Amino acid sequence: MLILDSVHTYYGHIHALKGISLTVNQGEIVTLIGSNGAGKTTTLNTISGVLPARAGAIYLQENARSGGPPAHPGRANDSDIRLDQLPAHQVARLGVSQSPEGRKIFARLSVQENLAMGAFARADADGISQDLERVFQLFPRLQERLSQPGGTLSGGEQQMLAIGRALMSRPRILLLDEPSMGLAPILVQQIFQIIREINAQGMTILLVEQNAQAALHIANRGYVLETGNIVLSGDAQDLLADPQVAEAYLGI
Amino acid sequence: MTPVSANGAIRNGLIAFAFLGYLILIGIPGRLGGSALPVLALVAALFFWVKLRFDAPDTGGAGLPGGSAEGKPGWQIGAPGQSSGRGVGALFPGRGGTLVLRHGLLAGVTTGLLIAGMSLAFASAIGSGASIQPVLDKIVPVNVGALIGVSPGQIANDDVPLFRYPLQVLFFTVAGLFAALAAVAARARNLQTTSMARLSAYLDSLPFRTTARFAGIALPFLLLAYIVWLGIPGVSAFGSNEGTVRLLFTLIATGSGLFAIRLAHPGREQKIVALLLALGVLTMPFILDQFQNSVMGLVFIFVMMGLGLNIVVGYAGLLDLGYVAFFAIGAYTYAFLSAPFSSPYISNLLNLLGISPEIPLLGYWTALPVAMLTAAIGGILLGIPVLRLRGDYLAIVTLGFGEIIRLFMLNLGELTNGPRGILEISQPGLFGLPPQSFSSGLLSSQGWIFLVALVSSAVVAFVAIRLNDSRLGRAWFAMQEDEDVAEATGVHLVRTKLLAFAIGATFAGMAGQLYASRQINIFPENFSLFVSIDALALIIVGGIGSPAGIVLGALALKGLPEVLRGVDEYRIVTFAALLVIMMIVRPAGILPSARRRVQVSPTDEQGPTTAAEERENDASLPAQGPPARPEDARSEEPA
Ligand SMILES: Nc1ncnc2c1ncn2[C@@H]1O[C@H](COP(=O)(O)OP(=O)(O)OP(=O)(O)O)[C@@H](O)[C@H]1O
Ligand SMILES: [Mg+2]
Repeated sequence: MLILDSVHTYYGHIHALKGISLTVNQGEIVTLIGSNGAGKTTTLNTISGVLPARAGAIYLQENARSGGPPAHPGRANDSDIRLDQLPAHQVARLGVSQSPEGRKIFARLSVQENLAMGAFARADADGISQDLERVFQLFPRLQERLSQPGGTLSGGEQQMLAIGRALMSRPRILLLDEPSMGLAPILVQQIFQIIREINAQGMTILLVEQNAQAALHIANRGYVLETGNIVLSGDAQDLLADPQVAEAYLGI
Repeated sequence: MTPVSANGAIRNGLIAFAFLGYLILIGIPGRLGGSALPVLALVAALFFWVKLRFDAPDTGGAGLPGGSAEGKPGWQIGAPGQSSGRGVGALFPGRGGTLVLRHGLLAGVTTGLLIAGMSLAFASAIGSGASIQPVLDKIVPVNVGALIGVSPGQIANDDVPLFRYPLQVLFFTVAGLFAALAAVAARARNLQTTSMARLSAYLDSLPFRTTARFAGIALPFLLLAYIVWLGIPGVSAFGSNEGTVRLLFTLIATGSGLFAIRLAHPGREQKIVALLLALGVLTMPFILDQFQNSVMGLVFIFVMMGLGLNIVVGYAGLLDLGYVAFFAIGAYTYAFLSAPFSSPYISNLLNLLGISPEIPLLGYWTALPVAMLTAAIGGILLGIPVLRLRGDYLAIVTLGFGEIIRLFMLNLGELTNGPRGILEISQPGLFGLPPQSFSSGLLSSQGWIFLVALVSSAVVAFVAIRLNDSRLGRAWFAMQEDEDVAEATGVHLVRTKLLAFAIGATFAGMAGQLYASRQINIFPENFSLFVSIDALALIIVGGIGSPAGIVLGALALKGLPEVLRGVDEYRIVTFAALLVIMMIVRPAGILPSARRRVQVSPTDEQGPTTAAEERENDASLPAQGPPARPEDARSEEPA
């Protein structure tokens, strides 16, 4: 559904992504792990159009948009949409939604307004209220705090809000950047539980995590990123068993 | 902030002395005559009171804005608790009440000694026949004489009783003492927060709460009645100042009306109060005289400016210092359409279009959409090149744009008549009736302008309030908080920013057109940077993002100086002092918007990028002042 084909991204002269290729298929959870500064956030920002890719291509598979299976899963074809050519707001409108690193909720907008911002590009009032219901089912806490300014929520609540906001656009693919950052262990478990739940409802997810162990446990497949290159990829189970991964990222 | 208690007190004394010294040098005691010393002592007391209230040890958020309460070790000299129990300090248990008193006394003595020393030095210099610089010559003897209660001649004869100097010290010491007592008492009563919700709650807690609330609500109406009464021929009060007093009451009635709406219980009561006030304000143009009406007209023209600039600065977070440009565009567009002066360019254009150039080309109301549209186009033209700029850079570029437009008006003589300006711009008519039919009998010509300004600002306010809660409004606030995230949720940044500039400019265009017809003659000099600064200052004083606050800001910034005109040289000083006090007491503005009152603590979970961006956002509003204290955020009910 989402294909990155040797994508290069720069910050000025800094070469942050050195030709990343990866694929996310319909209905999967794919996780991207790597140490600090490896380029995980950069990858997500490049996909969502916040950062421009200087070379390479990013495709959103056309058929994925109509719900059916793509014509050539995992391989780009003519009818696919090139995301790397588009500004961020158009990428968002095509159904790529990001819960950014550090939550970045709108601190002065209320919880309700933050969620409304998630649905900014949508006009279907019925669909929006359905999704709102769904978000409240996932995060009942948010419903209790509807009119509270986002900035006054606790860290965990802010994370819930960030995920809720991303879901409100009814995305085709959800990009999650370190959803467990700074949360208490019990909340971390809860968040992963919820990610699994969202996925079970049919959402395709690209998950970036420091907590590689937990991420690989819920993911179908994984990629390991090291200083802008993908050094390893495969089934999540295999990665979990890989001694190299175990040493570098699982802290075993 | 006070490093050590004694030092802090002495420093406060020094500041008070410097301020009073300035007042003395500009000749205020001379004006006040015999009452100079008590009045200056009162000013000092007011200063001490403000300082003490905000410097003092903390009782839940009363610290200096931005400073933490613990940052004032001066108050911790005696361990808290030790100082309580004795005398007035008992009013303020465990919180250093006696320290406050000691601090006030010390500051007062310091000021008094310095003032006494200064007047002694001057008196002996003059007494010994030393010649003082020409400038000071004129001011100082009279002033010093007033300060010590004798005539300059007596000073020259060295005929000043010595006890005058200790008397000065005594006066200021007492001032410090009173200020400290007031500060302690205020704190003990827990009145230190002035937020309306608190006040409302406080009124409810009084034994006669209904009465108190009623009094608060009735005040503007009483004032209105009083203004009417003052306007009746034959009634006189306040001697020659009557017109000014009436204007002052008009300003206060309008402003307190906004507070009255907040004091009323939400729902029906609020609606009734609002309706009555609207009726009251609408009668003002009919009862005020030409001068008062012209001031009020200007105030409401600036209300429109403030509301428009607020969309750009308050909603979208784009600091625009060239806002006067759109005001000028609106004014000149209307001038072209309605004044006899016609540039060759415009006549040629008209010939081409086959329109016979009669004057005025368009009436006020038919010209209105044209002026608004031209201003909106100006807004977009400014917006396009500055799309990528933020904060300080944006401010500088827009500043330049404002000046460019003014210089155009000044130098494009063929089009704009240059510095000679455009004369005889016509007044608004209505339903085909000529303007003259409004400027006779019931309504003076300025009254008619005021009425038009009122109605136009009401329309603008309505649009601004609706925008605040709209999808577009949310997009603006989101963009203000974080452009990247907003874009990633689907906000089209270019379009959203340009819309902010265009809508803001449209309002300024409306204001400019009305301003042109109010002035009748306009010149490029009317559109200097100071108009932008006034507009920005009034939204900051009133409370960024809040329409009611903006009306208050305009009343305070454009109305009050006219009232103070009566007091001449003191005008600017007094005005500046009022502004400073206001910004200390209510750093987020008189009536801040709910969004602005939210104090968002930068949580540690947020990455360094977020923190950096927070700073950047703040930098885009240098004068916004620190967000209000936490309890303001808590007390944010729809009162
Ligand atoms: N705005 C920027 N300007 C310059 N360099 C940047 C910028 N943002 C990121 N980088 C650099 O790009 C590299 C990748 O950063 P990125 O934020 O993608 O790392 P990450 O894998 O998300 O790390 P973490 O796990 O710590 O979040 C780092 O070396 C970082 O220093
Ligand atoms: Mg990261």
